[in-house]
Amino acid sequence: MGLNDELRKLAASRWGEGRMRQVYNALAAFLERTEAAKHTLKVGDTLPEFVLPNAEGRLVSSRELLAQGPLVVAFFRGDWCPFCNLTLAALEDALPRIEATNARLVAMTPDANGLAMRAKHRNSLHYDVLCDIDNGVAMQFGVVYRVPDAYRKFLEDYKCDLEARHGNDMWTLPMPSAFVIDRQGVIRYAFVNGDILVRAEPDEIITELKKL
Amino acid sequence: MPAIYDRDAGGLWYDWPTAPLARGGAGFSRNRDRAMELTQIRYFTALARVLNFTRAAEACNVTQPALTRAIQKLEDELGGPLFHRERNLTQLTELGRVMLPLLEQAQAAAQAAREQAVAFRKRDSSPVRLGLDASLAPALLTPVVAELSHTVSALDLSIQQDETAGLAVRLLEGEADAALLIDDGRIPERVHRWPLFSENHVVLCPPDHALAKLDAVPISVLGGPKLLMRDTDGCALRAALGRMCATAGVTPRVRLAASTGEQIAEMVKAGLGITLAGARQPVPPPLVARPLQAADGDRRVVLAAPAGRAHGPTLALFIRLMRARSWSEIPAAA
Repeated sequence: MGLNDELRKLAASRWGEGRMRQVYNALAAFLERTEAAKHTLKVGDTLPEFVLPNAEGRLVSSRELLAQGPLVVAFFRGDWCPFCNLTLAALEDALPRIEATNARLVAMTPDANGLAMRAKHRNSLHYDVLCDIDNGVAMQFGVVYRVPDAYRKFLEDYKCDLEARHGNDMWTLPMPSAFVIDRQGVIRYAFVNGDILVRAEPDEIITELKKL
Repeated sequence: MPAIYDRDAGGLWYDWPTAPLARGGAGFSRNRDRAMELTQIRYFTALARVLNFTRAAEACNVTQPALTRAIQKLEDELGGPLFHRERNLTQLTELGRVMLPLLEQAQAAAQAAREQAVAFRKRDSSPVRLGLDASLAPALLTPVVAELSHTVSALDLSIQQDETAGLAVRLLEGEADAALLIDDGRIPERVHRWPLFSENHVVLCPPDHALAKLDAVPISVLGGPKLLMRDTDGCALRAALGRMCATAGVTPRVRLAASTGEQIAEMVKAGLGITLAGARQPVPPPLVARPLQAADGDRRVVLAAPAGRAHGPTLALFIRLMRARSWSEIPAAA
């Protein structure tokens, strides 16, 4: 069963066919209509250079990463999102096969305050989780959106305080997405979808890495 | 943590249609659409500043029609007009006013991320002058300073300990770049704050002291004759002492004994009295710390920097490292 099957299964067990499913369907239709995910970095674009702290508090730079081989960058929202956790775990399962292509994998979250380490622990990850402070790198990838007031209220009702998690009052989130970058820093694969249940299959990432 | 954070509890279940922030229009390629998007934000913030299309275009070094098109595009994406355009008057709309601080921050974040990466590659460094509230242990800074010393060649960093009030003034006057302060409501608005952690207060005493046998110390002991405190103006611990005692109706009897925490610790070791400290600060051996039973005892420790001032590359890295790390465990004394 692929990651996307698992995401749907998790959603089915959580949501059933009730109101949440209807809202989700309406959302999917809206994002389709507004083509939200179409204006991000694309195949052929250059990786925006970055240097970010990892979960362990070390600085990691894109240049150092690319010096070691191709790079996979996965944006996720935070360990408050069960679908992001599932995705991080699926990438962990695929890590030996990713590294067998000499590639490096990093995940990025706007969560600060040590929460990157918590995401790493909770999902037993062995790849770097980077703190994209204030979504500065995600902005350059074009995957950032502002959390609208209704959703913000929903998050606040569930005590998910993005202000405290991110250390800013911007209320922005990245769309979950994955990019494969070759050693020259050129994006060779880009997967962005506004639908939180549709994500890059690790197998597809590995197929792309093998082409490099 | 509430159940929402638990993978197996009822989690967050959908995302929401949103105004795109960092996405440009279709029809561009090779990073141009993202550049276009950040350009739109830059034009918007310039226009919001001068409220005049001609002058904003001049400030951005573009033609006025180009600036007008970019603003229209951003308005399309954000779902409404950002400016009222009248003959001789340009004003922000309600939406424009709401979006301005957000877009300014987003612009600054993207720019900072880019500049830091370039500075890091070029091994550019800049001096960093840090302040540390006198009641905070320098060990708080150790992991981040150690990481900077590994990665920044010729790191030029100084640390000065003082009271929060004095450090806030130094930040505003440009004599310090960033500081770890106690946010007890006395930090000026123009100083930007990132909360790091909160701690309660403890009483420090020698291991053979009567208080050492207690699980928690009643606040009434602060009315005793042997409370030793620093004699410097604006001491955050003394301000907290005043607050806690006022709430409890206790009159503190303070002996202003010395000007540094180290000197106070030596006097406590010598049996001259007891003192107050933050609960998560390292305890100088062989002293012991006992929690204080007091309301209003929270000490909020914040990272502070002057609002709106550009950060040099090394300072920017310092702030990122400080914000990224967990403060649930405080580094042990060096």
